Amino acid sequence: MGQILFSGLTIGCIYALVALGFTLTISTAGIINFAYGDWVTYGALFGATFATSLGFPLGAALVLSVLASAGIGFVFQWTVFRPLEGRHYLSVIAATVGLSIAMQSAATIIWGPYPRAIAPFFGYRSFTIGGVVILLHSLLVIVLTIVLITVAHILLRRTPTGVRLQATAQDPETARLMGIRVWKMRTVVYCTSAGLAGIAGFLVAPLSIVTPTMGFSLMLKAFAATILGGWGNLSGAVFGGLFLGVAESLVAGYVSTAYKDAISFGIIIVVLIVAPQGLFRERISQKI
Amino acid sequence: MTYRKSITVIVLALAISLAAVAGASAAKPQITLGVVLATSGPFAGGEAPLLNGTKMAVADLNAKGGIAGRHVKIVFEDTGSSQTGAVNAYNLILSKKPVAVMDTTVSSLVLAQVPVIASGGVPTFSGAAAVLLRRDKTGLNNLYRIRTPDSIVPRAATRFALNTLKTTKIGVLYENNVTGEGWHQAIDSVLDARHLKAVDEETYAGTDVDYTPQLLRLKNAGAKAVIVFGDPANHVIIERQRKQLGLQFDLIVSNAGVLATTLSAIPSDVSEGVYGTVDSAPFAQPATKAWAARYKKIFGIDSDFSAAEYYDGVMMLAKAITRRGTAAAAVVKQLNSIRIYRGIGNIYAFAGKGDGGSGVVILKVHNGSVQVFKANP
Repeated sequence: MGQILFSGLTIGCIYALVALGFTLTISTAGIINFAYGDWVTYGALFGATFATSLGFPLGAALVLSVLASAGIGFVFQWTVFRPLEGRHYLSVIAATVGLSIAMQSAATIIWGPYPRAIAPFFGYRSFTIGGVVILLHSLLVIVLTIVLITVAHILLRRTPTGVRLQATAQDPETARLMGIRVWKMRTVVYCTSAGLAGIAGFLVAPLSIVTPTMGFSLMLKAFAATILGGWGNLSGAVFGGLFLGVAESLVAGYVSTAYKDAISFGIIIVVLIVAPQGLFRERISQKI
Repeated sequence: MTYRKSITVIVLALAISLAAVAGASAAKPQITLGVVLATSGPFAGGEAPLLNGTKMAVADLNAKGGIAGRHVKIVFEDTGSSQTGAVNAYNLILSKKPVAVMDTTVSSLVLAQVPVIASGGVPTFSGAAAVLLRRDKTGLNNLYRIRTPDSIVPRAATRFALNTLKTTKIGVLYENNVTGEGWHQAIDSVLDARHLKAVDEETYAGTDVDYTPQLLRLKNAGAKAVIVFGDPANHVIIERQRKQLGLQFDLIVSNAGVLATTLSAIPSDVSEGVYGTVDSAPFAQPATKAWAARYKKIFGIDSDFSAAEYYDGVMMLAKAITRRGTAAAAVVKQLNSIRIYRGIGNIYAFAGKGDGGSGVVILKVHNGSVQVFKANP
């Protein structure tokens, strides 16, 4: 039971981390970015390049990967999101789905089709508590996820920049009239969201494997977590990710591995029937 | 005629002859070979060796003047690793009038292509090994499976566990798709014949990144050997998590688990002692070592059986065209008459059934690379 819970918590933290970045652009800019899984993939590919191919220390490789990923967010803003500003949200979805496919193809061309790996922080060292094997890297994933979620929460709720971001999210026109530079705020959002994707990709890679399509399934789970938690709600997305990860592991461990996805998503459907706006109702969800 | 003038005349004559030969060769139309493989999507990594094997064969043929004096040209379409992509790619290739198609090895994609392969009538080579693609099930007489089919490999893996590893406590972990289900049924059939049952049978989705529940259930069921079917990414994580959880059972993995590119993503202490099932080991056989070395020199990575089998497919096609010409019906008839063809990657017999290979080799991982452990278990 303990081992299954720990592995569920680890995978849930990964879903939560991906869901956090995915939801950030929804909650603050109204952008549903279906290329977000590929941002995660590129974070892992940057990591594999810096850490494995170029031999940088893991810490330095992580920082460089996050910066490179943030650069993707910056480029996306100018080439995709800004030109599509004011269009129907389906236009943005269609554009990001197309870009997702293009990014996967580009990744195969740039990095090749073969799987790559990133060594975990602390190697594959582990310790045992009460019969539960704790891999240090998994523990790092859990701790870092908690730290990042806490920092994101504080930055968004307790700092002037966070307040400006909230104002921009709720009413961009009024925010602009109040002297807030809306596009500057959105630049911060896109770069932060992409940076989080870089961290998620770098951290999940040692527990998984780096391929040009690795981010797609994570993005789907993040999408489900976002719906479960409450559309556009950061806390809800994090909770949704954790719930999904733990539910999957428990169902696989005690019910059936064959039907774990069906049962996990079935639970989500039931939750949404009971609470159609998700478990954490979001104030700004009406306008997206 | 002075000595100098004689030399000049000889050189001119040679030059004219060579030009004439070259002109005659150039005048002959090229032979178009269609290739339908994934260069994007999740199957791109697994199918890269197939493209390499095909390219190497075409380069070898062209270096010797082509097939019956006609150079071979490759036309390529990407399946995108999806069923609709595979059908569209095959249709696009047909519009380019190929004499044959080297097709994807992913069984579910080939199953989707069955109607267009039938209507096209073009000889089609594929490494797709699923039982559902057997000739008696599809009715296709122009599909040549250049692999050892899934009716054979998982059975060999089960016999290996029973006879060589000497255990009857066998577990099964397979990807929940058409090929994985084929493996599951084939393993059960061997166990049933011996009045045995697997101690536990677990499945997973191809995109899963955590196998802890499945591995713990296999452990709790008392498995001593676990046969695993999956793609490279699944094998990497499964082998890693088995090590992390300190599980002691032996792993016998499908071919994707012991490809050089898969092993490069696994620490050597994690993959140590893992057994893998492949159709052949070109790097280890005296007759094919030179081919494997040449492959590595060209592509910069170790060869594997699948590259060798697609190389063999092109060579069998070349022989058929040399004997019967390029008309699809004639090539099909010739290929269907092959009773034995000893290639680099397998021994093929298409006469009457369309399933080419029958070889199985068990490899064992040691220090991050593979060694032949047992042939035809």
